[in-house]
Amino acid sequence: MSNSNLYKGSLSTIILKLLSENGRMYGYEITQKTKELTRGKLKITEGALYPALHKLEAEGLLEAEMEKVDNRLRKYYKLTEKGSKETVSKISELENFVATLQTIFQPKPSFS
Amino acid sequence: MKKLSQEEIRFIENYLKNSGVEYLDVRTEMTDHVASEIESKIEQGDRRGFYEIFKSYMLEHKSTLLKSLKKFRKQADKKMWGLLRKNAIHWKTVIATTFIFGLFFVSKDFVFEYLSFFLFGLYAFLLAICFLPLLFLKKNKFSTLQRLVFWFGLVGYIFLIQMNANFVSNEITGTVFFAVLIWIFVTVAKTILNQTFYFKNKFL
Repeated sequence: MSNSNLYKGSLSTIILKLLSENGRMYGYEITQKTKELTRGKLKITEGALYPALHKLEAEGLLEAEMEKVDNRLRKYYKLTEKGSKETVSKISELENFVATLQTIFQPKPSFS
Repeated sequence: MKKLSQEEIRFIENYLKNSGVEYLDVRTEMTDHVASEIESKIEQGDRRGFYEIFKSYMLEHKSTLLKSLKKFRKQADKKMWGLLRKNAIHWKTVIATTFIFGLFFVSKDFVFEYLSFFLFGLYAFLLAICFLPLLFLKKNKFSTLQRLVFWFGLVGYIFLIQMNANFVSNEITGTVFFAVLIWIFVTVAKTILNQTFYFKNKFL
């Protein structure tokens, strides 16, 4: 992942969000999509991504399916029903967090 | 788009295996990741050739890849407990447990008379279940299954071989002990069988 520790706590939410928008994805595809969406600012390393994917799978938020693609097996992940519900709450939690931070770092000007 | 050959894929897999990525399910996923990255570099015009690109990729990423292996073991344990919990209350487990416990209850006097023989017999049965994956999965190791066999073998050994005979030979505590033991055995056996056939169908 990018050098910033700030992103680490959001990795699961990023994965869930991408899967909710793209249906099913494999590991490398997730890293590339993140890189593309953030214009290279956020790079998820495989050392961080796969343990996170396996954790979400163990928690029952993701389910996996194997498919033979180009001489090798590929593992695709998709959201379970529980995962879809969790995505909504995690995104809202993250949005609240960002909004709270904004009140500190970008306070609205007061006219009084 | 240039795709890596079977031989190149096998090279990546063997390299990862020799670097300590022992579980085939984890290795398969990492192999696909590395192969996708190399294919992408070739697509973008990198003309160094497979082995050179692979070497520079590994120089940059090997340490983070290997650092994540411990996390995989932790997640495999977590997944294993989830599967056990799910299988423990599965109707097939409940029916099989009730049936075996019924057999035990009918022949209870016989079991208590030959207790140590019976406990060794159970442990032999447990080991036979643990060897099943080896038979079906051609000696390949898979994360959840490996952890399951490890924990089951260890717990089974402590329970059955080191068990205080006085505790088990008391009729009431002994009956409760065997009821719980049968339930655990059926649950674990079901989980090992399910996982063995899951990995056999998906990976081999």
